[in-house]
Amino acid sequence: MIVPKSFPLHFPTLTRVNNLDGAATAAQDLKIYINQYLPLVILGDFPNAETMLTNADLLCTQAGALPTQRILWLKDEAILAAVMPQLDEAIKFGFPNKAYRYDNIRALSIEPASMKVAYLIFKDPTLSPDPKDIRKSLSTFQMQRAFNAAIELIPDTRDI
Amino acid sequence: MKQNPLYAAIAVLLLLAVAVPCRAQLTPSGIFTLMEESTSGKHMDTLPQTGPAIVDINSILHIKIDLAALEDEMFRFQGISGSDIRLQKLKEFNTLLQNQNEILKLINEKFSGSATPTLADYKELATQSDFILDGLETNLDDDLWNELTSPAMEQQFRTFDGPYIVFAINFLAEKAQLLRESLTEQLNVNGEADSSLLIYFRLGAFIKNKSGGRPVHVENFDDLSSDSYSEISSFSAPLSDAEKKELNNTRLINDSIQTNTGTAAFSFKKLIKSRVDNLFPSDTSRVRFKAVFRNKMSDLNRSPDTKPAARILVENELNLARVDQFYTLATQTYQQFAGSFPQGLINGDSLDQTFDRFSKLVNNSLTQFKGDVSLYEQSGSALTSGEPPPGAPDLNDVVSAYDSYATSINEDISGIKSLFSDIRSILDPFRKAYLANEDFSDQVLRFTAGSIPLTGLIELKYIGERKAGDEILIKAVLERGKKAGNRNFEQKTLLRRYVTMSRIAVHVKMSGSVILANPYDRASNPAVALQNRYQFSPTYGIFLKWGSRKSKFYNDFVAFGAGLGFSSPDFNLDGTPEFGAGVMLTGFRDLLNAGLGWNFGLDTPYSFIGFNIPFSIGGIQSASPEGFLED
Repeated sequence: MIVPKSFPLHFPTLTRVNNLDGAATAAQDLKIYINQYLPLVILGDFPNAETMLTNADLLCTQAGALPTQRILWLKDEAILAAVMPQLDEAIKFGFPNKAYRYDNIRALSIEPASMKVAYLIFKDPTLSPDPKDIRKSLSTFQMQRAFNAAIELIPDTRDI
Repeated sequence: MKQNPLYAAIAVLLLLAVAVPCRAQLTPSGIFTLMEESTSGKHMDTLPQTGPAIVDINSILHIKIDLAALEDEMFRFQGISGSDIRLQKLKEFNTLLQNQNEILKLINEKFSGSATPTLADYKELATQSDFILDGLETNLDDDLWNELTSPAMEQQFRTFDGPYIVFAINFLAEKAQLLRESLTEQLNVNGEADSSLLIYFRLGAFIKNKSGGRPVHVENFDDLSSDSYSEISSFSAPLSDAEKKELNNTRLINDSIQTNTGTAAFSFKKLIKSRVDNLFPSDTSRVRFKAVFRNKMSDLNRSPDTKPAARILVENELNLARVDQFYTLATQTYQQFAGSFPQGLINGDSLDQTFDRFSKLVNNSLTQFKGDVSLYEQSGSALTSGEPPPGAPDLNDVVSAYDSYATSINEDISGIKSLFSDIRSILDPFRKAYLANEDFSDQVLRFTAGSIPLTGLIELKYIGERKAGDEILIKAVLERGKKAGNRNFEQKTLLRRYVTMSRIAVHVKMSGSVILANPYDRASNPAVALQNRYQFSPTYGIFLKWGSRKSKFYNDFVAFGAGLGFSSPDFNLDGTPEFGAGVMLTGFRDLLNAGLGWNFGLDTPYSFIGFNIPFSIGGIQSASPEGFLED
């Protein structure tokens, strides 16, 4: 059984944007986090982060947002390295035949019940071999799509 | 074997009952989709685009509009080429926006206030939103895509009070509106669109039956008020004596009103026609003017000095002749309108237009004549004596008579127009009853592209009096300009669809009829003294009836019913009727029925066939077949 846990905030005003405690427990904490919430995991630092994370927070609190929607922003290199195998596995589970480079992934949404990645956002979409990814760089638009994709995958039997 | 005809009749009725309502129909797509919602909301179905469209008489009609297709049609009607890139983009945007109302409704109903949304609601919103977002990602050109995802827009969302999908919808709607403005730009005069060239969309409905028609309210599309609430009951019990008496009184009053109305119309026609004789009090001045004209012409032609003045009259004679001809035409028009009272008055403005043209012609002729006379007089001032030229005073007399004629004509025309205007306003409440065509009144709203509602509703319970078999005509048009008289005006009909109202929902009916009862097991029951094979017997039935949404033929002619029949046969011929009861099927508007019964007095079964023909037997008046004497 996975014991629920509270996770640290990056900014006191953005109550839906979390971090993990540290690299040592990152893999286990990520599992708990995904089980507890419907997360959009953002990997690494990026320009205009404050505006983007504020908007991401708004996406989690707006009318129509699932109460469990959260942003997990991982920018610590050690944590990023610790969660990489787990996330890479989740991507392969969600997109079994997709060609991608893990280091080009900026964000991904995960459906908690299956631990499947539902949507991918790229650092540089032009590097993705799939032409459909050409506009999938980090934006509020793509974060909303990522949440939608994860919500659509939730099994009908799951509690919200 | 002797029972064969009876069993065959029952079998045929049963087979028809099953088979007739099952005919399939085609439902192709189009700009408009008509849907029927039952009063309870349990039944919601799309009506076929072609063939009979039949709905329950108490239902709600939804008229759903494909805005993308409609606006495309509107701009093509305006003259925009189908290959215009702006039009193609607008169609794409409208297609993406087609479920915006569902999204907004979902957010308002399920995700605001104290609502407790379910997982299904969240998934529904996600799916609906993603339809738009995916469309935007796939279809937006680079410029618009870069604008939507630009830092400025990200900043704008930070302060936006609402969900991101609404933000995206607003962005898309704004871009669609810019495209519309660009497409109508060519119609602009001094920065504003020329309303005589703008394309308007209008949607309206009429109820039609044997006695005529009237407009009915379509929610969102007109300013017509709803009529009184009236639900056709699903239980139609026979009328009590008091009700029959009341009904009879109503009929008498109705007949009286019709007679009196007819008399009033006749009297009014006479009055109008009698006025034709006195039409144009100006006629006196016309006669006087013509007399002055002829006399002066004759006088001026006598002397060579005044012949130039006579030439002025000759030159203007043609104009005067035209005035005379038009006078005849105007008089005939007036008589025609008076003869077709009141429809002629209600339906057109052409009487006013005829008189306006007449007035203009008279005034123009007068101006021309005055100008010619003035020129002639000025030529006189060139004479050394300074005297007016010969015949000038005579010409002035003619001008004076013509002036007086023109003045009185204008006064008369003004009076006549005012009279007809008054009559029209008096008759306005009766306009509905005299609806001779399907023209929209000004109460049917005009919509330009971008402002058209997605759905219209006709609640049949609120359209007032109606009967099974009456039809609703739903009509949608595009119009260029607002005024039918304008030279640019053009109308294109997009939809003209009749929907028949029938009693589809199961309802109860009670009816009396005469049956031919056959106690077929008489050999095993000596109490049956009947010598003939059949015995006439009155029966009273209570049965359930239902209609078909597929077949007008079924509703109009077949109309099955099934229920119980109670009769009073006298199989032992002792003069005292026994009590019989059984199951019965009715068909062909209850004209025919058949069934099996049990005579409880003699404990014997019987079969029967019955006819619902209006005659009495055994002291019981057989009810009239459905639709023959009632309805």
